[in-house]
Amino acid sequence: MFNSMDTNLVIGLVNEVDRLHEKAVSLVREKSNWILPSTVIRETKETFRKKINMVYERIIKDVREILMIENDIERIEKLITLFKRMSAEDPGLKNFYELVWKRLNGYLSRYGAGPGALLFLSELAENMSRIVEPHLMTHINYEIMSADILSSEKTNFLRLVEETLKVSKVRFKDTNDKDIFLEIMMNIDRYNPLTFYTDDGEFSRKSKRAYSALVKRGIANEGLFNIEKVDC
Amino acid sequence: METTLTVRHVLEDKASELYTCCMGIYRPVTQGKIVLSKIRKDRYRIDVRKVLEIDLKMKIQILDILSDVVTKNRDISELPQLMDELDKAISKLEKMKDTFRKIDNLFKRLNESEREKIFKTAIFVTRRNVESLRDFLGWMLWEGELDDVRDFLVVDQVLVTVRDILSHTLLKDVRSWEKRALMLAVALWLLLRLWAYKRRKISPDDLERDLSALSLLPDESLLKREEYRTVMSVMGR
Repeated sequence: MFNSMDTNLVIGLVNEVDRLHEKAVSLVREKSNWILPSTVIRETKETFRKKINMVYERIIKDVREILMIENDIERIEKLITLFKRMSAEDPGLKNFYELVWKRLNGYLSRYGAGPGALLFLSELAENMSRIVEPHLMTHINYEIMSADILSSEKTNFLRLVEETLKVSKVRFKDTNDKDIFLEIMMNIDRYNPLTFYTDDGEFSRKSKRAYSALVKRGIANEGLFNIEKVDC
Repeated sequence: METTLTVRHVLEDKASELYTCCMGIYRPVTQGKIVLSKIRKDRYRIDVRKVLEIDLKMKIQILDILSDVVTKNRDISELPQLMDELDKAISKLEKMKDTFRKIDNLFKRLNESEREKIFKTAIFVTRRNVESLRDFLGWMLWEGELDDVRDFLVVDQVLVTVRDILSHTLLKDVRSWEKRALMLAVALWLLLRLWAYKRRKISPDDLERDLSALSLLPDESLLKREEYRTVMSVMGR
């Protein structure tokens, strides 16, 4: 018996203020044998990366202007004021802004103001984007499904699944949803029975329909895959 | 009247440098000329020069041909076959195909220790070249020539990632060619995707998707484990 979860629940698990946090934590406590699609992990990281870069886009735009100030004391004062103002505007990110300021200040004390400071911020953002997997591991003991689609057997299977989706008119709302379903189906012979938890009603309905169609056409065996919609 | 430059303009301006970086990974011998002298394979320097000292138009043509191979989003597990696909693509270029084949054969015929020397030199030089591309990008942003900070971030982060992957291949515990091959394929994939982005064959979102598919750990000198929770707060409610 294996368990798996959707991107929103993985995000809920690692983000303590997320609306799905408690639900995700209790699921992880209650169930075991977690196996996560690589597509879910990638989508989680992508969502996180976009958020990080959105915040940094603003930081870099504002910081760039201030770094041009030649007087050291005036420059530092303006930077402190800037980070305080950003924290006041978004109190949820107060500690985050403090951390960025601490690192930037450390860089400026060592190397001074210049183009390198902008590259430093970009590199810091990149490193922050990399924390998802190591952070996730502290919340859940999991294995990642293999997205190996190289073997011809798997490629044929994938073609049959895609064909079935077309014939049964199941259209997922985006590529990520479709990729998650395909990845699960490609790995279902290895990880079964598998229950997939999601808070997305549409994904839940469409996956059920798609799986039934696969069973009907004899492409998948019955009772291997179950999807459960969770409410917070 | 002045116009604002974009990150795509910067990549166009640095096409030759980007080409050199790609070649350092695709054909490491191109960055190992000094080692060729040492191991008495000087006669091959002419072929190496043919790859590096072609005119800009030809370099761009090669970047276009190679980047056509990477325009579709792909899973990392598919990348080991990338080098073969690139070889196939380059073989259509009559003027250069023999030179590329020749220097590839040269590399394959070297003994283990010679290959190791060339590989390390090539990666060392390429890593520095990647940093130099970053420096220029940072300089343009600093000078106020660039306004698209979002694209700057994504493109610079691709370069940071390539640099980190290249550094990783030089670690003592990564001495198997198989392991290295995958890392180099990923690094080359990312560099060629930058050119595909420059040509508008892919979007910044696609580059972010590429970076999200990788599993690199944060540099502990930049971020400590106990700070991860603070960083996570960026997800908000």
